[in-house]
Amino acid sequence: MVKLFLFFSLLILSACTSGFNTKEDGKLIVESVIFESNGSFSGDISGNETEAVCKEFVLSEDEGKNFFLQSRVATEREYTHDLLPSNCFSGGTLTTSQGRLATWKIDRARRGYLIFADGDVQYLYCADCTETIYFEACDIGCTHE
Amino acid sequence: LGKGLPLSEPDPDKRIYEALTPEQTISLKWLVQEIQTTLGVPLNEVFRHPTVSYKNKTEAAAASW
Repeated sequence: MVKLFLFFSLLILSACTSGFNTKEDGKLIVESVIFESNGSFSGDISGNETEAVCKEFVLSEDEGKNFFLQSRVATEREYTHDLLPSNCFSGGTLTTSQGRLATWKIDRARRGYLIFADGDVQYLYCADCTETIYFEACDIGCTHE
Repeated sequence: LGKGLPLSEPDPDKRIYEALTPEQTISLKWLVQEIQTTLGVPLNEVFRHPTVSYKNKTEAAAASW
């Protein structure tokens, strides 16, 4: 009985400590964030966005952290094809609360991604971010009038 | 039409869409012609996706119909 108790205790302890600190396990908390670009213009996207317009897309450190807290995981297909993109972006590097390092990017259309040091990539979309600096939220299935 | 390359580029916005193959171009020409005749859509109302929406600007860049 005691052995059984110890076994399950270890099992629970293992489950609590083995998270990879990704959005999939719902625990992506950013410890520190460094900006290398802010209010930047990519030029990769068609449309009428200009460098001058993108200079207004400036995120604070708290807004950056909030994006990763509030966003959902998107598929690569959604990120690439289904969700609206934007030329206006901010980006840099970050460290999660569990010490994982990643390169990040957030655009004005509420898309973002994380590229972890081990090569893992996570695409994100934040419909729940309330900052007015973003385009109006339009997640998969939404239609503009 | 086609896919953005290289797939190893993690930022899809940085990928460049490959040109259409001759077979894809033949299919596209047929499709546009059918849309014209069946639905009565004039040629000047057929657009590449990046022309009418924010998209990777290399998508369908070399397509012709």
